Amino acid sequence: MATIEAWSAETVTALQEGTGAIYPHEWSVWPCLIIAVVFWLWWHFKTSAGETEEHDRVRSENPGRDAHKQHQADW
Amino acid sequence: MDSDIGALTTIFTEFYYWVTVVLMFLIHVGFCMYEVGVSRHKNHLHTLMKNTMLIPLVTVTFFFFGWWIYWAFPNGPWIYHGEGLLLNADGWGGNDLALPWKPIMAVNFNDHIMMVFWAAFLLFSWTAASIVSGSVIERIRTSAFGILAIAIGSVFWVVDASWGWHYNGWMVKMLGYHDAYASGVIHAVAGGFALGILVVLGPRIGKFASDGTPINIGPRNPWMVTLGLFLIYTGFWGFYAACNIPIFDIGADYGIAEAGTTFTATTIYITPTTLSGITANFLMSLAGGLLMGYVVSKGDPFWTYSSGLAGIITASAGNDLYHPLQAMIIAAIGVAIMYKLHYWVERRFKIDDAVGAVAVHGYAGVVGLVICGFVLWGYPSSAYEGYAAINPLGMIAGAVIMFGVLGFLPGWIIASILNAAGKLRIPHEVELAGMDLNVMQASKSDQDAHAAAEH
Repeated sequence: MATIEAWSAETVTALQEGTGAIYPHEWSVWPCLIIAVVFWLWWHFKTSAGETEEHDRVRSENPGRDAHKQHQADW
Repeated sequence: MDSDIGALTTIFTEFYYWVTVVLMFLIHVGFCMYEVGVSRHKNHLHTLMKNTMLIPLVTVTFFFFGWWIYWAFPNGPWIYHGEGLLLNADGWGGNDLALPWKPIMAVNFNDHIMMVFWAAFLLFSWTAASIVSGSVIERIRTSAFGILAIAIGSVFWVVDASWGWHYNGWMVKMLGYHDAYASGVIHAVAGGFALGILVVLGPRIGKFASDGTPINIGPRNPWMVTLGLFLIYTGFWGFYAACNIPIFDIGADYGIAEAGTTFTATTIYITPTTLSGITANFLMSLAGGLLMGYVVSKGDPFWTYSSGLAGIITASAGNDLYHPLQAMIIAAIGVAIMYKLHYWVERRFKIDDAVGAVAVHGYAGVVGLVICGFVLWGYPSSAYEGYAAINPLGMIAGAVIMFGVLGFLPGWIIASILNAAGKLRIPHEVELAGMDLNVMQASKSDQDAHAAAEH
């Protein structure tokens, strides 16, 4: 069921007298908040793990301070 | 303007749209930087000029006939209750008024809105053409792109806006189509149009190895690419504001005068929203897109920045009503899907989209429309009586019309005609040597002459 089913005088009056929320699925705010927080925290773990993997690869190759100069593309 | 409040509303609205036009200019600065940054050095000047020249071409054709199309075709082709092809509306914005020789299409004592509103739509037209511009770099003839830019910028996106981004549009009335910030009417249609062209145009030389493996080409200047995208984000603020009507008394139009004078910002459908709400949704959908894009692309700058944009585009259809947390999650979903689809289509169909425009705009736009149909299911598409409510089937049908019927199909047909005439793609030898070779030769010659003159 949509939060707003018709833009009518009754709807406008109810909004003005109530919370004024017109976004859909008001029940979903808390689940969405949990999902968003979990996503945010997961992002940190995921990107940190990815960085570690990349750093370990470079460390294992130990290419030296000037290695980047041999890998400059010239498009 | 015969009262203080009337004068204030009119002048504010005039200034409001003017400011959005200025902000939206940044979208085009951004597109120029981003495309030049992606292209190889031997093509970057032609890339710049191809994107630049769509501006005057789309401007004049939008003045000649594009604006008239928007006001003339909301009935669809004899779709809405069998009514005529042309909507012969009276009053402001009627198709009669939008003809280029009409007094209201110039400075006019009795009107303060027409041409700033025209300009806001014009900047959307530029955007539609610029979206296509990036995907076809480094092998399309500038003359061919000019024709394609006019087609998408002054004809086909305008038709789709007339149908689905107009308070009187048949798609709104009959399908409950809802697309507040143009996921479909700009992004999906332009992405589909670009795909139609790419199918005919073919990939750049060397894009695919002999075994069909895609090879990344460039970018020449990754920093310029990302800065360009950042400017597009900035200009996108103007886009969002321009999609709204800043202040409107919905009481009289909606027959709710008994609720009192009710001033609010509205969408193009004259449904209530707030600048405050869309500001939060813009930022949260940008954030959702960036976060997901960084993960799926493993921190690739180009795809991360593109994903921020794709996230906004995915959520745009319903960003007038979503909760910010919903907008963020919807954006993240759209980005994950469009990123995977881009590479699948590239591998499966050998489509060379140099900047991922089909994915960022086309696929993200389509996903956004579909999600909107479910999340906003049951909401009124308008306050006028007799309009269908927003629903998944209507939005899916809308997505097919935007991406396929008004996007892919015309792009493919026009590109095919140009290709058959030998006017679509540059010759093989020119592509290998670089489109800027003449300019570079002249510049080198000047340099040599200058060096000789110095001695």
